[in-house]
Amino acid sequence: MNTLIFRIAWRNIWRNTRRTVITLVTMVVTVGLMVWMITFGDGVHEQMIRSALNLGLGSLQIHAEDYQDDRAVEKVIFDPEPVLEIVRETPGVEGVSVRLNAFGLISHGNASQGSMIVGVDPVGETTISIMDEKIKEGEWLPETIENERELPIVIGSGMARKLGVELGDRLFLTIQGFTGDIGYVVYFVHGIFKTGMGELDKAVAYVPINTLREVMAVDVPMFQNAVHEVTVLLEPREDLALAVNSIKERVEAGEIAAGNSRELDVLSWEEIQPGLRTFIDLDEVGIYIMMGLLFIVVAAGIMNTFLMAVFERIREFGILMSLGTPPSAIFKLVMVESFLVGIIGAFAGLALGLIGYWVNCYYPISYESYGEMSEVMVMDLSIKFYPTLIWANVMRAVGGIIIVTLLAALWPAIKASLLKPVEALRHV
Amino acid sequence: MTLVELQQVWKTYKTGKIEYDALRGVDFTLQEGEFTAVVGPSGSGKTTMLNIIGGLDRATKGAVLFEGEDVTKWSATRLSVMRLEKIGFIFQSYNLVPVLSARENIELSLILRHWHADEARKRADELLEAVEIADMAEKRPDEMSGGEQQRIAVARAIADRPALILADEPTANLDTKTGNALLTIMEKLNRDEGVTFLFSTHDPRVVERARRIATLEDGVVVRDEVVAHDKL
Repeated sequence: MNTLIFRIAWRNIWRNTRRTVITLVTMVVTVGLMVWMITFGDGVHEQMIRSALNLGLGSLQIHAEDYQDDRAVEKVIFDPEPVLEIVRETPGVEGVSVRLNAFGLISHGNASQGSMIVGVDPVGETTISIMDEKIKEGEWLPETIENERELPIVIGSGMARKLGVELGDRLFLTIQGFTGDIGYVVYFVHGIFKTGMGELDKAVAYVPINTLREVMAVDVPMFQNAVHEVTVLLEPREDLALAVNSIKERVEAGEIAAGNSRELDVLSWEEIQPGLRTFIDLDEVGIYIMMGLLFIVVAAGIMNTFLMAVFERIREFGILMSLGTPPSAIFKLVMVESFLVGIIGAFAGLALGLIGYWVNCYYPISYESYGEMSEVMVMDLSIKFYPTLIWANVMRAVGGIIIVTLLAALWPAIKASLLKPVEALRHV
Repeated sequence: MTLVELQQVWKTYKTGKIEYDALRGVDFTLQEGEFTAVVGPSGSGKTTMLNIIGGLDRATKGAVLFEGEDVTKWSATRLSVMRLEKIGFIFQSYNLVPVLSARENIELSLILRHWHADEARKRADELLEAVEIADMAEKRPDEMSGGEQQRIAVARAIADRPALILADEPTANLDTKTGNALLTIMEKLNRDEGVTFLFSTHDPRVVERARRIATLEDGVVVRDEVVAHDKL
């Protein structure tokens, strides 16, 4: 019986070819658009995360307890070596490095800029961030300092513009030390980077960690190995939660607290920068709201098609009923028709969306002209955005349209099943 | 054995504020194996009576008994099962499923009755031979003449040898030759296989062959007579 119902349903679909094709085109375009939107959205989100992670955030960071709350300068990891050891033993780690963060004033002549001065291991930093690749003038920090009188600093293009400095110019840094004392030091511009992220380019500077520590820990030997962050970059698609938990477990087991007067916090990037996670979540909600609206519009069209199809075939339903077809089978027939339309529309739409995805892979979209928004977007808008195909997300659009088609056909199907045989047979 | 019994059956149609009694207290009994015609002028209630017997419509008042069971209050689903298992319909306007071929139209009624697909196909081919249009098996209704469509409708109605066939003006749209040929087929089924036929008709050819004639006028059975045919 099922085969025959499928046969009747299939033939019924094509009785009014033009109407079915118009309905299908609506569905195909909608699903195609949704699939492309989802792949593009997923691509943008992945690149946003990757961009933030690669520009220094890292996948996870290990801090002294509560450092994240107030970034107080004295909350340090006194001995980072055991921490580094454990991180290196954790599977899926792409890179790890240490950082010392200081807030200070960078001056040149009469110009000055409040800034975050990040002391980094010049080599280690390149394993967790791409700042070295963002150098537009000069070079990234050298592995060793050849001339102690010419300490190197790398600043952003925004800061260079504001201070009016060029490569080789001297910068005067006023920095707060670990004990609250103010230290002074002179650096020479070794490189100028440009990330496209306004705040980073304007207010962050990188110096070798040892040089910064010397200024911050004058006469305080206990800080001689101190760092604020151990920053870890995981391999792409590596399970973040797993890595965080694995390191946390070992921290909580007391393995790496030894030698440190404080407990340690292991924080994922989502905990360090919740704004980015919220932004992505909101953006996803926006995509799903738009999908919902599209589904409603398509559902109205599908319902109209099926109501018309049912209305045109009232007499035929009467014939089927006179043969003894139960109301449930009439209902099933209309639902099978809608299911077939849904399947065709969904998978043809998927094919169209995948073509869009494929074209987008070759012709990525750039928001370069919206560069000023990058401060708001917390990301580098100068990069090109490639789509990402996550089947589970894409199949939401495909499954969604099939469900919407079935729901839209529900009322016409119920209407058909409730027809009175004699009235249906009399219908002209 | 009594197959159908109508006891004081009324059927009232409402159109807006106007009420119209199509049947007004019909008493009628049909025995197994009958070949009976219900005759009467247009609007006398013949089709309404057949529809109520076949469970396509419901009586407003009175009782309808099928094989001794009162079906008046049965649900739509239960009535559909009764039609499926016991009754075959032949309509004036053929009422074939337009998207199915001649063979598939016959198969449909069998498959609804849970026949295996191969068996249904075999039976459909037998019936196409019996109604002498085996060569039309793959044609759809819109590719067939009225007579050919009605032959398919007859084949479909008798496919699973139902207890009762209700034929509403089955020959009205057919030429004399085709009409006679179909009546011969139906007579043969009645005689050889004991299928009960109840016709609603104006057609003298049907009346000539019927062995019992009930006359309806204004929704009431005014005459009910058994006739003897010389040729029988």
